[in-house]
Amino acid sequence: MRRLLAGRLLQGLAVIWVVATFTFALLHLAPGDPFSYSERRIAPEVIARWRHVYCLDRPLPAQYVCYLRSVASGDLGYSISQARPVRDILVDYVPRTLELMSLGLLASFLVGIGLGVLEARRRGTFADWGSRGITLFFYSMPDFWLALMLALIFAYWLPIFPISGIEDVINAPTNSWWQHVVDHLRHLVLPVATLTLMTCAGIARFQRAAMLDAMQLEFVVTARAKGVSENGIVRHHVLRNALLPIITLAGLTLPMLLGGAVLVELVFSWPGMGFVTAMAVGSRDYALVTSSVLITSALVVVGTIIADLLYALADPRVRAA
Amino acid sequence: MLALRWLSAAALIAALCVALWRFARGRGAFARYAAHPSAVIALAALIVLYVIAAFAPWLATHDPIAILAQALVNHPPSRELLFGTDYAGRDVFSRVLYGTRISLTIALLATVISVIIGTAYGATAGFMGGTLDAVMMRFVDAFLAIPRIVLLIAIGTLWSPLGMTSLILILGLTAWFPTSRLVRAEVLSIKERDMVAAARALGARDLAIVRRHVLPNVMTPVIVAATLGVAGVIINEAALSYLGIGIPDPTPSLGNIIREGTPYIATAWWVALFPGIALVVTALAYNLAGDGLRDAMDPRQVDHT
Repeated sequence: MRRLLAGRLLQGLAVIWVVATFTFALLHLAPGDPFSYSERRIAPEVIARWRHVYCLDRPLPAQYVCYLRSVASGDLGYSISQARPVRDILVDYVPRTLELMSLGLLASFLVGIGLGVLEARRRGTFADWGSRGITLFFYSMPDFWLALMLALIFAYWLPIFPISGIEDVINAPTNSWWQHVVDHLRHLVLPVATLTLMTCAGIARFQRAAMLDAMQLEFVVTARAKGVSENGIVRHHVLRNALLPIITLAGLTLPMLLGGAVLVELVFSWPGMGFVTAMAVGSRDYALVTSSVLITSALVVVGTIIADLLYALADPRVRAA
Repeated sequence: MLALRWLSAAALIAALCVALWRFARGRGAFARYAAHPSAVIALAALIVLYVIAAFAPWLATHDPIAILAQALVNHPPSRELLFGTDYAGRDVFSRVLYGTRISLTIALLATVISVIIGTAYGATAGFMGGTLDAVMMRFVDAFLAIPRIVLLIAIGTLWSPLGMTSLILILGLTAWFPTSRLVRAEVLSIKERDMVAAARALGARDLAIVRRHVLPNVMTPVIVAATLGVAGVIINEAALSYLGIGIPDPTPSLGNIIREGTPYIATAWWVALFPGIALVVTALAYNLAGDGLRDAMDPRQVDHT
């Protein structure tokens, strides 16, 4: 177990090193440098000082070492559009993305696993066919368009949910803490629903295949021969074995969810990492955009390591290895 | 007049479908493909989409870039203006036709690029093995950890505005990582087969073995993955254009039509709705066709239905 963890951590570090080298190459190959498009909002002396801080006045190998060192210490550069270090921006925005992500991950796994089990049990029936068709339909939708349409239907046409933001700015000051919570949850519904509809197809498909594989294993045949009810077989024998591989899928779903969050946050003006990234596009904020690449990949790496460890905890055969 | 054009386009599509159907009937893989009603419908939809894309100038009711009249700004759908007009008073129907043409072209070319690179890269890593393989695949692992849209946004921001060619290149260059993994896995298993050992015993060189024995056997899963991949590329291209780093304004692409409709979504919903439907139909058709192809071409991976 400890060796597994050490190995995974080392691999994760290697991944982040490659990504950091790549973002360095991007920054270097791009026209100008992070401070070229500042529109004179920041005084030239300040820019010259930051250029010096980030070693942009030194030869290339020195710049690379300097860049890696600052990334390793958590310093991700200076954002010209917000005129403050990227680290400060991340501290403000990443937690809100994590909130959206974890709820989205939870909801899509609940829905996906539920649908997968349903499809496998009703295999070949209308329910199976319909559920697979509908999930594939949502899977084929561009995330930003799905978000727009949900906003159009459930916020403009039927004003059930708020259109954007994280809380009602007009009523917020007078709300009690309980009203705050309800208000915040209401703001979460549409973004989380978008992320769920987008990702549950893959999970349902995977779960269905895993269930059907597990149903053909010999102990299921034995259980059936012993006269265990069909419900009992699914609950005690099939589901337990079919849930194992799905843990790995959590690591694979993360990039999709994090990518989806960018545009979903933009459409719903959810002030998270993705929203900031999308806003940085217009102002050509090099440091912010490349940090977003680093941060999202780091989140994916961490998520994958957690998934691997959970898998090892759940499956004694892996734990022993 | 226009109705006549649409009728003749429909006749052309029907003739194509019938020809394909007659060709396919009763032939191994084709018959397996035709056994899936959804896959057949998807193929028909793709043919319709490509015919529409090819004949867009001929089928459009208006000039997609021309501003019709000040009075026709954000005009709702009507018999004259089938999908209504956008904020600038341009015909959304014609814009969607031209946008489909551009989106399909970009996605197809970008997928071709990604398949070529992914196959070459994966085959090299798998066939060479050893340290080279390990290094090459760690590189792929790193890029798979970056959400593709974030990667595209970063590249797009640093080099904006992108032209059509660079957009195709960037979409292609960022889409090959999963393909390379797939090809490598296939190559690893093919490398161990007897035919490769036999070819080697007969004195064949590496390159000849790869070309004669490895690549033909790899093509099946690659074609399936590429078909499914087109759907992803179309959606990513739309997302880039939606963010304003893809195809720039007067030229219509499905993504930037939605972008222009977003500020007016509450009143002029038709501007964002119709290009989105075109996107969903395209992506869904590619996904269904890919699933059908997998069942038809790769009997080992048959879905348990």
